[in-house]
Amino acid sequence: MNQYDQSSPEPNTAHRSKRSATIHLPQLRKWFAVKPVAVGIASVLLSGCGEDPMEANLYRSIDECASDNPNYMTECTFAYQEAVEEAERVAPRFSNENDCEYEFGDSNCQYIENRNGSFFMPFMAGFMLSRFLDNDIDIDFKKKKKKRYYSQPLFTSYSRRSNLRNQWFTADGRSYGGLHKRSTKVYQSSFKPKPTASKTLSRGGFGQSVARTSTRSFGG
Amino acid sequence: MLRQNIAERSHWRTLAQEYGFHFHTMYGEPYWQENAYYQFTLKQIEDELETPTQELHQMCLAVVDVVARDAQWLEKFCIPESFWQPILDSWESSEPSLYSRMDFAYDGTSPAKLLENNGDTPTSLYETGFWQWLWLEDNIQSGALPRNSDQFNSLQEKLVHRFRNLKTTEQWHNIHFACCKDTAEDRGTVQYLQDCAEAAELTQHFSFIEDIGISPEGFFTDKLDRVIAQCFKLYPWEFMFAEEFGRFVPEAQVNWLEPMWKSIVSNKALLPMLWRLFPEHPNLLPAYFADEHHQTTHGKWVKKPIFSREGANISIFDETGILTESSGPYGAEGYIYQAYTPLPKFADKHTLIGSWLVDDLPAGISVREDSSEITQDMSRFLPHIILG
Repeated sequence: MNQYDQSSPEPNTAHRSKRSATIHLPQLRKWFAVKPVAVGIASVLLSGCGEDPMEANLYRSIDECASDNPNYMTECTFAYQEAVEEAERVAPRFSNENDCEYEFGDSNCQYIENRNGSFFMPFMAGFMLSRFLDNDIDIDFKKKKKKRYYSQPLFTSYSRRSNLRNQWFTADGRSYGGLHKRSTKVYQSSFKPKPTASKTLSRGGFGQSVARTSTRSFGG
Repeated sequence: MLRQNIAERSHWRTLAQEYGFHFHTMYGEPYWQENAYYQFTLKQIEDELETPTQELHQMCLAVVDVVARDAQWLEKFCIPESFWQPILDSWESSEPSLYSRMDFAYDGTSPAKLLENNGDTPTSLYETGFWQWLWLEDNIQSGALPRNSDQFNSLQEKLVHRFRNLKTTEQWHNIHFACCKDTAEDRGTVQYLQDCAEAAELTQHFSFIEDIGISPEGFFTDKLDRVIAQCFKLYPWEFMFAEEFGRFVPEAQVNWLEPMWKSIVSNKALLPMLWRLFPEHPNLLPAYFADEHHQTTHGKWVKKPIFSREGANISIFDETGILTESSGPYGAEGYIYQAYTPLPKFADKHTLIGSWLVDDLPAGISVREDSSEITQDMSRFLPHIILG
């Protein structure tokens, strides 16, 4: 593969080499500077309204949404994409594929690499769309500030080990019935942004000595 | 042991760029230098450096076994009382370690003398394990060095093996790597270890030390709120003990690299303790605690803070007073004394040998030069070879 992958022959030397025999160079090659992990904050801001239950539809795809709302192909696409983005943020995360598949079933997990890092998460199984708030027939999809619909990602498990097998559920683990269901009654609070994966109370409790010493490296 | 001149590889800066070795020059000063190298015989390497390294490491473990069980010694090591039990627990449960670097004064003829043991957060790992290895391979390929040139440097091989071992026998499924923000050198060192873990097929994540969080259950979390279960931290234990999140450490159920018992090995109080347990050992220098100051009234001595990095706050004195000293932020917690031994001089530079261990196996050496007697973080790194 390259010139370094074979160690140099050692003619007539009885002793074993004292250095690493091979180093797989492609693994160490980096054209770009090391990039620190950065966090991104994505959230859907909701306007505050009453807590009346409302109708929400459960769609597996854009097509299902569009056949239900014939003139809103673009809007369905938009709601779907919004749910996909949200899914990346709130879906359960796993550091390896096996653990993810254990919970969510074979071939039901994807590898995600985004600005937040890399992990495995279940595929989004569908999305929930609430319609017609204030009994308003027009869904104003385009103007975000006057958004009259809410969407959120839905997941399901195909794993025999999971009690959420073949159930619709949201990132907070709330179940909305079997996959055959097409609509449900929900409270608006169901659409509140879900926390990212687990929970952290505070940060920054380590590293305080750095500012005090202003030493370049902490190695020795 | 010779210092030999050699032509630089014309493309080394491009290579450095390609491999992400960004700290070869720091503050406008060269850090990596390849216009010369050190040459050792195999006998020097094996008898004078490798064997003593292995033996000294076992002696250090004997010190840990004494100190970790004794409140009086833990106090002398300036370790906060709330960590005494966690340290003993980590020692008694044989929590695995990753690596150490011992610094030696060695001139090629007299026995190597242990100056200190960087058992917690040693750096210059990438330069040693990979970069000087590549330098040798290149120079053998080009014919600039004889084909039977070798190097005492199985560091990378052993690191990968160690991570594989942690995965299979310790059942580690993943590991977080952490260092502080704003230091290219530390980030580079940690990235190298991440690459080694990756090569061992151990799932790895990165977090800055400052970004570590605490969950309601008392677990440490990374920026994605993933629980930290295994963590390599390029951050000294004594800082962690003293900081706000230190109090969560005993209950956080993290397998740390280095484990907490290494805080005894990296502590400068190790040196007087070694001398106490193994007096007159050929690879040790006489060393004493501050309250044994009467032992240091004759001759030349080095005063070192119990906690210090990169040669900070060190002074050299004799009967007439202080001869040399270095500045720095350390020393508030106390000092130890170690007999002075000169660093050998080659080409008017003071030369220091770093001898590496992965877990308890000697794994190679690094050579650093400094224009001052106290090796600091502005020292220069030179490659070495074994020939003959």
